[in-house]
Amino acid sequence: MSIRTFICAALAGGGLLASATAAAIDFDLGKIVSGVKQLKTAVIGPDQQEEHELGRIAAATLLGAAKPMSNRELQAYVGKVGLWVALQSERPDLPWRFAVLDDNSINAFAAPGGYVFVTRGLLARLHNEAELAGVLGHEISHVVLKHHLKALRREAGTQLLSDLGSDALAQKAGRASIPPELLNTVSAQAKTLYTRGLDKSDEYAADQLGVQLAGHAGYDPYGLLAVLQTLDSMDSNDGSLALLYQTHPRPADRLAQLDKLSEQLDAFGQQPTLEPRFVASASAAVTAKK
Amino acid sequence: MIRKLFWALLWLPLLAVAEPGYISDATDLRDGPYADAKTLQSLPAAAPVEILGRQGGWYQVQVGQQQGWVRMSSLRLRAPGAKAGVLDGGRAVATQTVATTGVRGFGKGELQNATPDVPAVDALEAAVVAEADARAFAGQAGLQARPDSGKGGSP
Repeated sequence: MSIRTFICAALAGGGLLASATAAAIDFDLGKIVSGVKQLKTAVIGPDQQEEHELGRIAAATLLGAAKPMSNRELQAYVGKVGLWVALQSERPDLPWRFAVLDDNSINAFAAPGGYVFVTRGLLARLHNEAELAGVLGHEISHVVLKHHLKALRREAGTQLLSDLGSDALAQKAGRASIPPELLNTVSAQAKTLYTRGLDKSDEYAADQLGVQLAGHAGYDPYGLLAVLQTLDSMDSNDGSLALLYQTHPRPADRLAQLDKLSEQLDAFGQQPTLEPRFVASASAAVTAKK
Repeated sequence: MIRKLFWALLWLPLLAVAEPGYISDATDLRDGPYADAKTLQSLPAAAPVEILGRQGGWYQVQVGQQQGWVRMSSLRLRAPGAKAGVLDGGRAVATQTVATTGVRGFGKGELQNATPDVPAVDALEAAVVAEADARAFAGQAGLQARPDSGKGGSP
């Protein structure tokens, strides 16, 4: 039974239960919806559970270096842009989580299972929503194409993964604590991965799919290219770019790869950049602390 | 005269934000953002231009007294020869990281020394965006998903 079928069945069951008891008890849609959400998490298969738990540890590792900004409106704005772009992907049903990290570095990160982070430093250098959609599209693509997941699996080996799998399944969907040994092992691998970087080919693939996702979401697909031009114009000795440059091909090389797509992208060329909404929702929030 | 003044005023906001750009490879200045638009003049590599705006894969630029369009890929935002970075195995490397961590943000060292923060990850669950909210948010701005979305294929 697929997740969707299961949820439909659960919804139908919830509806019947509700109508049967509506006369006596207040009908609480919120409870049913939250119940269905839990079911959705609980019925995901062992592979996806493993992906989620590996991602949870990888994300925890990144959040050990920088915390999410406390501005809820800004987080909600970035979250909505991100989810809208992710909904155009092959994995719209993942539990997508987006956050702006309170840090001056210029960077963005993805972790398995649907975690996407962008730093305040990068957000402060963007000009419009299409550029943000392009950046998030690149990170979403890493998740969709399972780049970090495959790299972590390569590092981890089978024994660890079977431990993780059985442990994760035992936890079901609970937010149970992670065994310290597992946390340390996977976190160390995540650190290696995030400081060494993925294969160049993975970065180029994420650029390509990211641009397409932003275009499919209705944005000007050239947003990511505009961001890469901005990065290309910066002094590469700028310390805030250090980690990005250590882990990614040069912006000029990424632009050269994306140029091959230009004929396809021109079909999307008239789509909006939504600069006013970006300026109103994000610019002030990130430049205030610049 | 009035008409000329009107057109001049129309460009004011654009001129106010114009930023410099440089032609990376010799290209043509065209009278529209299309590959088959009329060529106004040929621009040599390294020619400086003022960027007036962008539409899709084309920049609108001012070259001397003439305005036109050039391909995005034919233009860079920095002068030729400026920086370029030190290369290490094909990757650009930022060599001088003398500034303090607060100014430059976290890098390799801070990440390697980071203590995983599991509660911070689990706290993200509280701020999850509902699919309906994301769809409404897109609708408010008139964003329309392309019919071939969700397949991850080429547009």
